[in-house]
Amino acid sequence: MNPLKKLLPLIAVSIGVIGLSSCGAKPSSNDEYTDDGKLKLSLRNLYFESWAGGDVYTDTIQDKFNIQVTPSTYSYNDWTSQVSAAVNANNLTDVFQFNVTQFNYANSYKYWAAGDIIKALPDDLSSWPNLKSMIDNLTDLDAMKVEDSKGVKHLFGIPIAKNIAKSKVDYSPFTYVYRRDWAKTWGVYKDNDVYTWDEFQNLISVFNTKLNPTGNSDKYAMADVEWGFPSLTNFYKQVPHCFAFDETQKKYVGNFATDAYIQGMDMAKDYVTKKIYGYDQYSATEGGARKAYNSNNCGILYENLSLTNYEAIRTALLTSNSLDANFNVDDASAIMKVKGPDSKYALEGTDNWFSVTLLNHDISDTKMKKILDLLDYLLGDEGTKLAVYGKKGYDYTEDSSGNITLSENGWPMGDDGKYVAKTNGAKYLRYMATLGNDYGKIDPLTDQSAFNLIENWSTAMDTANTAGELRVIKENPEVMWLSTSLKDSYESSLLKNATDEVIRYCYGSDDKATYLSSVTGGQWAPVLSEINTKLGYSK
Amino acid sequence: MFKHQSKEVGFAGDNDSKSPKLERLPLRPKKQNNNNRIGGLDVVIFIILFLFVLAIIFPFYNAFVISISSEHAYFNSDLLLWPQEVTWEAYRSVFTNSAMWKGFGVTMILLVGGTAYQLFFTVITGYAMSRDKWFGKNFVMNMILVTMFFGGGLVPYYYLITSLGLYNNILVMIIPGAIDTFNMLLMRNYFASLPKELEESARIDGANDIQIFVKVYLPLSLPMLATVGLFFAVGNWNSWYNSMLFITTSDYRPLQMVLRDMISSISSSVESPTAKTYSEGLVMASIFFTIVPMMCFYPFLQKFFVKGIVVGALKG
Amino acid sequence: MESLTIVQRQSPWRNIGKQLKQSRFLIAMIIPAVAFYFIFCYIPMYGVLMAFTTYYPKLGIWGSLQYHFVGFQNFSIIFNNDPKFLNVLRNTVLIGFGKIIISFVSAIVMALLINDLRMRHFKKVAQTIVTFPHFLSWVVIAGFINVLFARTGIIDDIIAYCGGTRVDFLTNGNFFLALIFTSDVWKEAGWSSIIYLATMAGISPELYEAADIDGATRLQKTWHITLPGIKPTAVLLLIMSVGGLLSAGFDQIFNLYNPLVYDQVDILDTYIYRQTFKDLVNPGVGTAIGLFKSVVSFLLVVVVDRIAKLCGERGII
Repeated sequence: MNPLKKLLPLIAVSIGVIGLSSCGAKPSSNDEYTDDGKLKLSLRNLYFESWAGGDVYTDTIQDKFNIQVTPSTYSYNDWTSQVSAAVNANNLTDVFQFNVTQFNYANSYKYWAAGDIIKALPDDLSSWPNLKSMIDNLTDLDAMKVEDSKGVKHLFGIPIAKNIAKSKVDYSPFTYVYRRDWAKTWGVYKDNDVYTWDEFQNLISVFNTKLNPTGNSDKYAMADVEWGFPSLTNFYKQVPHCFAFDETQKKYVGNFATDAYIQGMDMAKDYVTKKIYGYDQYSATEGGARKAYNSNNCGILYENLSLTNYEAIRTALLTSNSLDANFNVDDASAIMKVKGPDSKYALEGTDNWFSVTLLNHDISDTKMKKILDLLDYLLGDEGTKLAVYGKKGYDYTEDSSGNITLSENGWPMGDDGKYVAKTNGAKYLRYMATLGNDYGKIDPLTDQSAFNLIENWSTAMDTANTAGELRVIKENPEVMWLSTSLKDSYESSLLKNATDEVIRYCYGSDDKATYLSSVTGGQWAPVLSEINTKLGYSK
Repeated sequence: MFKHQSKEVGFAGDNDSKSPKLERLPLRPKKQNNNNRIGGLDVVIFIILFLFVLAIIFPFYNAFVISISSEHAYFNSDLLLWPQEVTWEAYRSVFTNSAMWKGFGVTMILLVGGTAYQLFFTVITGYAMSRDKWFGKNFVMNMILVTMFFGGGLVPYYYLITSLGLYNNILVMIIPGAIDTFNMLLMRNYFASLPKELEESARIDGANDIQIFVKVYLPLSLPMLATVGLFFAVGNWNSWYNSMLFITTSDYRPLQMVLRDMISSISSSVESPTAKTYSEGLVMASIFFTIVPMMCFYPFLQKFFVKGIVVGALKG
Repeated sequence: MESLTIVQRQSPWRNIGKQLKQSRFLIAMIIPAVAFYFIFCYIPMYGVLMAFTTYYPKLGIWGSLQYHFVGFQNFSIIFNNDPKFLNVLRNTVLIGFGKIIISFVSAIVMALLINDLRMRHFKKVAQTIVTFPHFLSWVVIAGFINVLFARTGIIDDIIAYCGGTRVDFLTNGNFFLALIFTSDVWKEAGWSSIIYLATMAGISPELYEAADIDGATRLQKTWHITLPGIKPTAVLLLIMSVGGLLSAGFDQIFNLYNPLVYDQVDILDTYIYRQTFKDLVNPGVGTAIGLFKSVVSFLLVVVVDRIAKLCGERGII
């Protein structure tokens, strides 16, 4: 065949080429030092944005530790591609960050640990007390200790703590923001934003009637930023993700097929049909739900109420309603407390850390110690002040009782009555260890009113938790970080497919039978049976 | 000057002209066509094209309207067909955004340097492939064709780039693009369609291959050069894949990467201390920032390239 | 007596020195290309072997092949027991095929329209405008589409203003499919028509004049002169685009799709992306898929090329 004949010389060439190429592990390079003896560090973190060093705070840190840092950032959409390309081609920076959770790349984390791609932290962290105490307070830490290439378990990265001031965070702040002003106008407001399940339903239906009377409006009552309608299903389902423990059968079953989940999901489907949920909140635009809320097109938003997100919502609301003299942003962004059918609040449990700072296996111990020294300093009192306020004496002064006064030079006031933010390298470096929620209260850049509102809500939830009025939906620890070969391979795609299927069912693309077969069939059965066997629940 | 005889545009070696060779008749009065008046068909064509042109313009117009309307107007208006509450705030923040300008500079370098580099190599390769029977021609042709289908994947490519020293180097967006197979084949096709007599008579005059190329074929291929040059320019303007993988310093990030970050910001369900939300107007303004330079240059290039087509078609 | 002339088969290696000398300039011209393809295409080609192994970065490809060879196991993800896979394959072929035909036809129609347009000034303007969207990346166009066709976007606003019910363009599978094809034409028709226009410009006007003398109408002239004139170019472009059938436009669909439209627009690449992107452990799977697609595309092009040759055109292989 002619084409094949023409291919032959090329195949010959390729074989020759194969002989030429050589690839394998890059030889470990010795530590590189600059001309004046500073140790070079390359750091990569999603939160670095466009910081490239060069500010006076970075210089302070560099002088103090005798290092030179080369920061770079990830593009959020390409985070996975960039990390995976660097891992597979042995071209990682000294320190990098990745979003490791139990259903997200846990398998990769174990693989990298066993494959000599990431470096283990020293088992004894007592030389770094701040770091040690932060790590000791992290939840589920045992699961993060995995085997290295020789089979010994170590901790292989620094989970980035959300808030080092709180020793345990039981739940993630996914909850409702709603238009209290509309609720008041339409007569469904309840004191203190506390609603029973029936009152909540009533509010929703009133909102629906007022916002979308014809069913043809572009406004709607409720929007959800997360996939799979957790805004309703959270009050019914037992666990947030894949594997629920069935008490009657005494074994693990798929969460999406449980009666409890389906009950919640059917309710969501009912709401979709009544056009209570917006129809295009699940189309491609990220942030579509939030934009609808910010633009007065939606009455209730189920959102991740981190301080940053909450501030953003309030700012956007102020912009959209800038011409309205009677507008009260507190009333427009009130945080709702809803009691479910079991008269309890429901919140998703979560770990008190997010994503992990990982160290390249090829760095020397000296370098690793330097990095740990740096992070320990930034977590301590002096380092935190450097990151939050700036240089002592220039940006702020501290009196004998510890009160901080900000200087005019260091913290000029902007036109909008807020302090002008400036690039602070220490603050960016601190993101490698913690998200910084601990200094929310003292940071000059924080919107204090937003902060206080979230604090109030958080305290109320804590009180409810102690009083037994809060149901925290959390996966059983024994199954959460369990590692079996099928679970490792398939859990994340099972989760993704299931949430997709929920959306399709609720919007009418699939019927109940198709839904059930897709959340019980495929890889669900083998994975579940493997789990049950491993945990000893199968008979 | 050479007679460009009537010939179908075909492939190298396609000597059987399917059309009759006509002789030029000396001046004779042109027969009056009845096609000088605008007929019904012309109107239909005009309308179809006009509607299509409107369909092209409309999304741009919509985006422009959004970019100069205030955020408040965008959210609260029922029908935003023309700008309401005009504000230039979005454009102001785009123009004072240093990352955008840095990206613009980088893309400009790619555009000018990269396009020239790619055009040069692709054209000479296309020319060489269009000539008949020289030593090794079939081998090279097969070699190129196979690469159109089979590739090694990302990992060895990454190793190659790092071992060539192109990692974090601005050249990584230029050098690996030297020859685009598709455009090379277009050039080959075009050169082959020009009559053989040109080459033969030039050879009789004593020219070697390179002189034939430069003095005879190159001037005749201007329309195709312009087309292919434009293809490369577009590719360079839009390129972001190589920089996504291989560029970590912000000094060398092209405009498309900056835009990419802007249009798709960090998801709100992800914990982030630095999440920024961009208003729709700002996103649209950034898009325009990346489009407008091309919109300005393109009509001028078009003029040159349209002229080239006309020149190529003229005889004598 | 007749003399038999025995013709000796000329070996291509005969007089190699002379041949080299004769073609020295052309060879000089081709050397950069050879070097380029060798370095950037052939050297990385060994990476294809990654499809047959579980890849360990520290061992590299050779080490992984030595210690962790898995044969065709990586390919099994394509054919795992998922019943949806057939649907995905069907979509890929349908969308890919549809796009090839639609873009082919629309490019030629656009070229004919512009070519036949009599109003000179509008012609230039139209050509400039119509070719412009090609410059935009799919991220930008997805941005435009989301703003236009969202339920709260301008198109639905106009529909509601005129009294109709708002249409869900982005979440209804059939509308979405139409959107995919339409946006493809919107982006590429003008640009693709350039090649045809350049070719049409090369058709001798004398042919048209001769047809005028014979009294042909405009449509007849188009059918008998213009179309045959661009046939070789059209065939070349068609054959080359067949190679992209299995890709069917990942960029475009990925930037726009959502779970509600999986039935109609989930293609091979997006499906595989969802199945594998959460697990970074084995990039061999991605390579396996790529290899599978390469082989199939190659076979497709060979087949179409054969067909073209049978119809009298010259193929590219």
